[in-house]
Amino acid sequence: MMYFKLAWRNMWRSRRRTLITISSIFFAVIFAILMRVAIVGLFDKLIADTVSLTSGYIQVHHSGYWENRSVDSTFEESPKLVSLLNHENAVTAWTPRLESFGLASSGDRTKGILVVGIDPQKEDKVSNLAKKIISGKYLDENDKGIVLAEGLAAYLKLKVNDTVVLIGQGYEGNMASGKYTVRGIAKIGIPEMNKGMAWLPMAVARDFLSTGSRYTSISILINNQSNLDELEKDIVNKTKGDGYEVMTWKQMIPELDQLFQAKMAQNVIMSGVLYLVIAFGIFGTILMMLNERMHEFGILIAIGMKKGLLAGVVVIEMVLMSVVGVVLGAVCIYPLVHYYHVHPIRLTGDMGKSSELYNIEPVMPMSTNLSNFIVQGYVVLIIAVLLSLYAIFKIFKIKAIAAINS
Amino acid sequence: MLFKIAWRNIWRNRTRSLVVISAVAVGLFAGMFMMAFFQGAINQEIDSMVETQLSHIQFHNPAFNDDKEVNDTIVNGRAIINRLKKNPNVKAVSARLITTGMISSSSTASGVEIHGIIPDDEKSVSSISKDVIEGAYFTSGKKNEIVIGEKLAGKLGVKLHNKIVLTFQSKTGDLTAGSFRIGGIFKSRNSSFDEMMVFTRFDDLAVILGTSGEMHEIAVVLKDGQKTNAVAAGLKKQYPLLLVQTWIELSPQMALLSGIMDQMMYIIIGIILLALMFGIINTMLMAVLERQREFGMLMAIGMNKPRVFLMIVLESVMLTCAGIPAGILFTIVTVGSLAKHGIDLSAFSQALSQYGFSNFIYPVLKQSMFVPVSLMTAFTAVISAIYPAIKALRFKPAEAIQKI
Amino acid sequence: MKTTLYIFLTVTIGLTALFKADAQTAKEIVTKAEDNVRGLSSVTEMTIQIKRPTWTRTMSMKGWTKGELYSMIVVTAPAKDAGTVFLKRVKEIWNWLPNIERVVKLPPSMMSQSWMGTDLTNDDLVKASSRIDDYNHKIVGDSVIEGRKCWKIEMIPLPQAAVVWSKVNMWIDQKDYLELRLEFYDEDNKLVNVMQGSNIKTIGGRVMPQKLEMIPVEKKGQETIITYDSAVFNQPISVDFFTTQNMKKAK
Repeated sequence: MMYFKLAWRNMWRSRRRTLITISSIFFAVIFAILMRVAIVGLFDKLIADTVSLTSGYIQVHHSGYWENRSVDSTFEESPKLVSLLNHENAVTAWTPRLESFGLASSGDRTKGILVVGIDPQKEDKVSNLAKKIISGKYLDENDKGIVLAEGLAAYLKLKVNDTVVLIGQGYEGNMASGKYTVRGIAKIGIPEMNKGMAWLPMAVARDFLSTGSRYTSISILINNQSNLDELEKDIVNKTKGDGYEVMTWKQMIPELDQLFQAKMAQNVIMSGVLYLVIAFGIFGTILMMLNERMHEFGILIAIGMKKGLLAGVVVIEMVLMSVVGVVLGAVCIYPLVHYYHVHPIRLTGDMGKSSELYNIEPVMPMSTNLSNFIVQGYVVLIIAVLLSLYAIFKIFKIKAIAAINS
Repeated sequence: MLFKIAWRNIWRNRTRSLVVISAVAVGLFAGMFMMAFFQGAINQEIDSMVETQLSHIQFHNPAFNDDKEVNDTIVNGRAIINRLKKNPNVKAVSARLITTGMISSSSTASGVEIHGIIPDDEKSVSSISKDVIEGAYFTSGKKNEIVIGEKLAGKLGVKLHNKIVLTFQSKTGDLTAGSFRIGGIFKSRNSSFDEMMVFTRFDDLAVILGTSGEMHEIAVVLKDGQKTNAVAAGLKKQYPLLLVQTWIELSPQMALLSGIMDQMMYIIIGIILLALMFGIINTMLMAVLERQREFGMLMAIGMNKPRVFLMIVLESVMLTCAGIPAGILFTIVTVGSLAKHGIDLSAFSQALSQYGFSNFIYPVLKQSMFVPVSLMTAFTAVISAIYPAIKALRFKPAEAIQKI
Repeated sequence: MKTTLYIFLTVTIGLTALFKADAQTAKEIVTKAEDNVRGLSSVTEMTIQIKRPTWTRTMSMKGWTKGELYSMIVVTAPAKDAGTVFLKRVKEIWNWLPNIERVVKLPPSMMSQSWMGTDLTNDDLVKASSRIDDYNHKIVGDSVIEGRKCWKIEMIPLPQAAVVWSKVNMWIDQKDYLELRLEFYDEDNKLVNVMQGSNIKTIGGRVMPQKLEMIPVEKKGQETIITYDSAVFNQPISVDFFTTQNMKKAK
């Protein structure tokens, strides 16, 4: 307790020095947090944009569906699953899909494509499909028409109001065939999808594939990437024995995960450099502080203060100042982070225009996830405390007379 | 006179001077390292995209991309290749036959894209030869060998040296089939690539397709990837009847994603430089605080404020001048060595190696980086000295002397 | 499944061999069994049953063939799919869909897909390989199937043949040259597929197995069974019958 009291008094005695030390840690923690939330925020956003168009964050299938993607592995909408999804806080939107490979044909041209039966309204909430319509219009629930991807329409030489023929393999060996009026044409940024996808309203798709009220998947959007694994486990646990298979985007689009993992690993190096710079800033401050106080230390030792006690007091001072700096920094930067979370920084450059096609907004919203603040705070605190240990070393080397004369 | 005082001051308190010098040196190193690392990361990314399949520039018959019809070959392909090989910007050229079809094993069949390649040419264009993890890359000299992805091999239930049958449409529109033996199994970074792409020898495929020497794709790798757009623009003019595309045009989504992340990296470099500036300011502030007594004394004995200010600035300029060469030297040694051996990222991401991703990044130190980073660091260091210097001048001499 | 519909047809209309040959080579036996089909025409009515672990589906069809190059099949039941026609002309497959009144040519990318949900793929219908030219044949034994004495013939594909099997064993009835059982082995010498004919009867004046089963050995509970209800042989059918125009009129 005495250590603490002494340290406290010392801190108040030289307020300017204390302020400088605290500010060095204050700024360190601010930069560490800023860097982290910028990266995490951007990655979360890019993932959200990319998966919304394709897999969603999480998909629920009939177990075994992903392996062979057969229409036979479908499931009926269960009230239990629906209410589960509607009551999960992490779920922001979900949509059922009925997917099947088939042939699209017009005139003498035929192409293998992916036909997707959708609930037009729910689908739009998940993938913003309506926004991608470049000619004609989006589907509505009672529509009997079809939306084609732009590249597919071009290959089949079809325009809005033309007719396209679909054939395929329906549920349990049923034959699937039908002709549909092209209602709209959608431009999708992912070339493979743009060349080979078509969307039918769910009722029409079910009729086409003879699946009754069944569908192949439910795609789920979530509010926060950090809830992903937890939500997946939750859905798995709550639907155990119901014959579902629950997959995250990481399993379904490993390429994307790989890209982010690569960027994250590079980031570790970048963070390392930042920590190095931060550590040097703090160390410089500590070194100067010790330098300034040599005279004081010399006198204290000369009048009989034990070096251990002195070192203890100085370390406690440092820890106190670090804690204050870290807490202040984290608290003060939060409003700014929140502001940039709501009003993201727009990235400029030539990608601005094309990015809309890819469903990717070129913005960098900062992440307000508190864990980033806490982790970065800890990291800076640890750096500061480790560096203050240098004070112990320095104090034990003091020769009283030389110090007083300095 | 002022210069002399500043010089003496520096030598008088060596610890302080060393701290400032090393702060500048570390700052310079951090800035240089970041840029070199970042450049290395970008290069690696582009290289791997370019290497897996895209190459820098590709030529096609404009009709080919729609539906990969066998007949949409490149007219006069051989002549174009010969001309490309003479182009001073071009490092390597490879001709490819491409057709979609079906691969069947005894247990199942799967749709694939069949690439007929000239093994020696392809080796210098794409990384497929390096990705072979089992067997060999067309070195046996046997006819009708095929190299398929690990994932596809698993799906088909086949092993090395097993036989598979390829079925596709020939040039005359007939469905034809040919049997191939698996000579090699590859594993690239991209699992869907591993499932979709199979490679055979150009000549073996040409016989079955009936295309003789014609080709569907010419892939070009440049000596300097940075010049892709410029070279492509020239080639587009030279071959108006062909579709000339850069890798960015061929894979716009990936290019966009990495473009966005690259911009973010600039923001991060900005954050690090700011952190560096605050670090130096704090060190300087502390240093000035320590010298309050000294400044008070100087002013008490009649040195005026502008001169004290100038003295402080002069000191920091000198320290900076010492710090920058030290930083450059340190950078050249460390980054130079890292550029040779690479930085292993595998420790930071287990998932990476699981994907078969290259874990090494080789920082690229460019001479053009030194000037801006040195200037930036010097500017930061001097600016950070000015605030404490102004601060120092606010002291009242009498008070300053009394301070411990 | 890597066997051809052509196999069914072969087995179905295998000619009654008039004499028993003792000194024939394996190749001659296979040629004789296969030759039974060549240049012949047939009109058959059949029932196809698809068995899967969780469901079973039955379809009725009527088929016309001329040699191995031309065939046409119209679905007669279930009512929902009735009138759907498949036409095979040399190496092309066409599909007529009455409900949408369109003829669609199947592109190569669809060749690996199942034909009408059966254990056959579209590719099986047009497969280029020949039982005679693409294999080396050897008689390896005698055995009795369906109460009939059979040659067991081992067929090893030639190195360049577009055949995925490492070995095919075929049992040919010594009296009527019927292909009664076929076993397909992969390169690990593991049995992958079995085809067998049973219930030998005289249909349309010809001795043939009425029932054909295709069994993918690895897939439990999965099977396709074809049963012939009636057949007429050797009534002349013109090549012109097998046109996309005619598909629309097929009954």
